[in-house]
Amino acid sequence: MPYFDYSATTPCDLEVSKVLLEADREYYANPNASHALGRKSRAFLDEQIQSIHTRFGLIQKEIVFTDGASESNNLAIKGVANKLPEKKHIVSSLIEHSSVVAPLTYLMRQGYDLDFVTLDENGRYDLDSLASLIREDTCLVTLVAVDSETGIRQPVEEAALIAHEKGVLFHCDATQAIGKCPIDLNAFDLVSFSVHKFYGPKGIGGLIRNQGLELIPLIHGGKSLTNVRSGTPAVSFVAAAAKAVELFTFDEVRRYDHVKAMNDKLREALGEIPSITFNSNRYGIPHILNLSLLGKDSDETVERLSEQGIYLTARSACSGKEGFSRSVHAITKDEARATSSIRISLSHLTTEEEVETLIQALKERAVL
Amino acid sequence: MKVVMISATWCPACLIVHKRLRELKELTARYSLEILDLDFDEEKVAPYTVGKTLPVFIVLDEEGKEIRRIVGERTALELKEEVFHD
Repeated sequence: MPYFDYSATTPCDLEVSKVLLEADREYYANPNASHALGRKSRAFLDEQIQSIHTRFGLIQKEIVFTDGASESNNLAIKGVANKLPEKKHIVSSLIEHSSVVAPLTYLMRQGYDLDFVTLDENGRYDLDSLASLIREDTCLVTLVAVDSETGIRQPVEEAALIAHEKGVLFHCDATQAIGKCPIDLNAFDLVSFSVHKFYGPKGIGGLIRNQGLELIPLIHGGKSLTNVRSGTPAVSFVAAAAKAVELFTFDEVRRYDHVKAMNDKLREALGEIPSITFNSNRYGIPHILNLSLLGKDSDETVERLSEQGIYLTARSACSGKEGFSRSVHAITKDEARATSSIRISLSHLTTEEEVETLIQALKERAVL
Repeated sequence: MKVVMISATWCPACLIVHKRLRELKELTARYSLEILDLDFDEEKVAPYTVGKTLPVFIVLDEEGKEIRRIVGERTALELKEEVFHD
């Protein structure tokens, strides 16, 4: 099935599903229980958590397990804001995921002041702009690592350095980066991720935080694995997360090279068509290829391809102008390209045949 | 004159427009501005038949009749010129 929406979500790897089911049957006791069965679950859970720490290369960090990146983003932003109530200014960008935008909107309605880093001609954060926006009362800088529309890898490590020089906490939404491109997770105070983006199950994610960094919880109910997230620990889901992390770290180079080859094949074949222009530039990860079919409405293209059994997306749901991609416009400064863009997202599971089917369909669409 | 603004919490264009509205506080105070949320005020939003693009500004006359509709992100200057004028 020609599925090109892997940046939205991925199918759970069979090996991961197997771990999930087995752990659920074997380690069902509450790891916080003091009886022997609980201690058995706890020991297994601790091994899984340690495995993720090791493979992520985390130093003096703690993972707060959540139900996904949306919760992690909310916990990071509202958790810091509520912990530092005397500071009412946050710096972010306008290419963030809705689960960052919504808590920012919520805080603005509570009286917070917000500023947004501008994008340069390559669609990357203007770091001078970031430096100029940080104030005495800034409690947090929150920026996404990879633009989910264009795949552009943002200079988040450098941005975190700027925030830290000014004594401000930095949160990175690394949901589109982890498992796809190298990222220094130790560079940030808080990092959000979701396991279903790298072939794990939906319903598990995490917020990596500096050891000792205090947050106000979103869910109150007493200490569980950490003091900021209550609830019975999801042992089997953490085990599944550990397996998913193991698989992508073990197979990282082969997966990346395959995705790059599929991306190159698309570029080579579609680059010949005059009405197709590529919006993903040299800063993009190969997993996302954003392109415009000039003169063709994005939504209509998505619908036409869907009718042919080819699945991909256009821009994010809310764009500000009719059929308009903010990210694409930032790079191209071209309204025609910003209203006709689509996102092709690739995986190590993508086959050459699927890519050829997509190429043929896009060629037909381009000349129709 | 009344202005109805329809926005959503998750929409970046709405977020930046809300920030601009704050800057235009003195001007907007002269209008009856009702801010509706697409997800939380569904019943109130429904009669306005909103498309996929947000935010939406609907300017109503004293009898509640729609005079003009402005769809999408606007700069502070555009908000002055297109929405908040008699």
